[in-house]
Amino acid sequence: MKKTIIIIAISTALLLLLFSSLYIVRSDQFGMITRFGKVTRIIDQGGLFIKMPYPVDQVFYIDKKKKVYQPPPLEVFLADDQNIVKNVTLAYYIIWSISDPLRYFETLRDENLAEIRLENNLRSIVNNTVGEYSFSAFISTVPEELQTEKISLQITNESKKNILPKFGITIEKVDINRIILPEQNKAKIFERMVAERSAISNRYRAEGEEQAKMIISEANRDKSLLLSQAEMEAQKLISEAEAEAAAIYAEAFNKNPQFYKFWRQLKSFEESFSKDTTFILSSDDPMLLDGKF
Amino acid sequence: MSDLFHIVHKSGKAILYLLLLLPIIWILSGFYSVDQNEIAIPVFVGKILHLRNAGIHYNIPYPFGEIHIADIKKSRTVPVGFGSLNYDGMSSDHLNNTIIKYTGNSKETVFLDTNIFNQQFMTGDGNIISIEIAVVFNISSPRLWFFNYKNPDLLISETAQRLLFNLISSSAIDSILVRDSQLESSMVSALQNESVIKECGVQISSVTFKEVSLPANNVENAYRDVKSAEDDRTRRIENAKKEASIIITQGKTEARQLHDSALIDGTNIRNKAFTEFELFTKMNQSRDFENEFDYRLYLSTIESLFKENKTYIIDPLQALDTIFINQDGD
Repeated sequence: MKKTIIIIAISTALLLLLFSSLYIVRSDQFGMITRFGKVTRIIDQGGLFIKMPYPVDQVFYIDKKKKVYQPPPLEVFLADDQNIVKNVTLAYYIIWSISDPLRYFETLRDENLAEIRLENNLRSIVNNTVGEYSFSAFISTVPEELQTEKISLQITNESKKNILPKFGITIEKVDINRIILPEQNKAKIFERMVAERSAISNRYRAEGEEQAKMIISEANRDKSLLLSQAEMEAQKLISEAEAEAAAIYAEAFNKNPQFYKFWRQLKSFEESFSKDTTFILSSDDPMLLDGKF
Repeated sequence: MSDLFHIVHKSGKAILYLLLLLPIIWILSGFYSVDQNEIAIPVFVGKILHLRNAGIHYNIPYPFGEIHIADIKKSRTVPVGFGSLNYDGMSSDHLNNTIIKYTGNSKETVFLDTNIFNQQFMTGDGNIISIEIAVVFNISSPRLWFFNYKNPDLLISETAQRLLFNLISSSAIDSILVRDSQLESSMVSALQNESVIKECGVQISSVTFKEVSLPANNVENAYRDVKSAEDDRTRRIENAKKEASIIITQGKTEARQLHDSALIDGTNIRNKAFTEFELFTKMNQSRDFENEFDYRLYLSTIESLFKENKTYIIDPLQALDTIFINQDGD
């Protein structure tokens, strides 16, 4: 039994020794082997490797994968030009990776620290580059004026030159993905937006009123024209009828002019004097005489 | 003491059996299943092996082996412009609530309302708009998805935001508010053409503009009033056309009435002339003794006139004495 226990203990110890000597590096990692704190080996491919057991050799892993980091937005000042906008809030992101693991291990070792360093180093590059351009290089409906992509490329190239030697980091890309005015400028923009739309609303309503007036006035003009034409036609019809009537009367007259005149006079008496007429005659009035007229 | 030895002896055997069993369990734990829509990437001692499709497979278990499984049919969504970026179980408001402001050598940290900042974009004509979009994608290459970028979701989100910014900053606000389907399709094709998206191992399915709105109440009211003004204009013109139609119809009716009235009057004039002509002709033909006929005619006319009306006859020589003949002949 004692033998068994001893065998088990020795086997366990050997196993532990074996496991602490073996290490696996994934294909998306760098393996940094240090001996008493000094880097002795860098593994840049996946596999199973052997080292001296802890605490002689230690292994540190560094992620080879590309990383995306978005620093806090930055308030930057633009080039002075005709535009009233002088400063904007700018958001950007960085795609970076570790290309020199030894340098990275020696200077940074930690991704969070690396990102802080990136941000600090990029700050001046972003400020200096963006400061050469005006607002319309970022915001414009004229395609020729827009230069956001070019500015991003400029920042990327500048940062590639400055950052790699220091920290063993490669900047794959720096891209601007948002620009907006500071809060204090927004109120003015909102006011302008409201004023512009109010002007459009007023114009629409005024146009509606003007067109309505034109339509109604045209209709009234057409109506007047219709009525005047109708009156002319009516006049013509009456005139034609009166002409015919006159011809008839003339024919009657020609039959017996004297009697016609007498008869016409009597007719005129009947037509002129209505039932409400009051006669005031002198006793020697011809109407009361023997009809000699 | 002997009891203790007995216990140790017995537990030693148990431990032995356990020690023999553990490796077997460990070895057996290497079996895994891959569903129909999934692809597995087995890794053995850090090296990526061949991809595995649906079925039961085996890989040496951890710590020597790993399995990464990706559902390539599952649609994943990444929001852009949302206040807090929670997506696919990854909670993150990866934008800090601050802006760094540098003045000369001094640095100032200013509070930023992340929700508003995330949502607001400047349009090409200098206006501000709030936008939220959702990018829908699925994994097309699990190898790239797992091993190329540490945070591929974030990369998709940032890239989409950049492309959205480029699109909005070059467009007028009216074209964006309309929410043309071309906006969505141009975002999809722009994303699909991005090299980093291809490097992520994803296929973009769609981009949906979930929210396009104006950033402040008074601005929104002003924009709404434009639509209202347009409706008012249309309504005013329609009403005017209706009124015009009524006016024209009235005019036509009055014109017709004038015409009809003139026709009737004309007919009446003709009829009267004709009637009088006939009457005169008869009378003329009936006059045997002309003077007597005329006199009788005269008298009957005067008689009927005086009967129907009040008549006063005044003797000019005796002005105060009057003879009054009333309607009754008294």
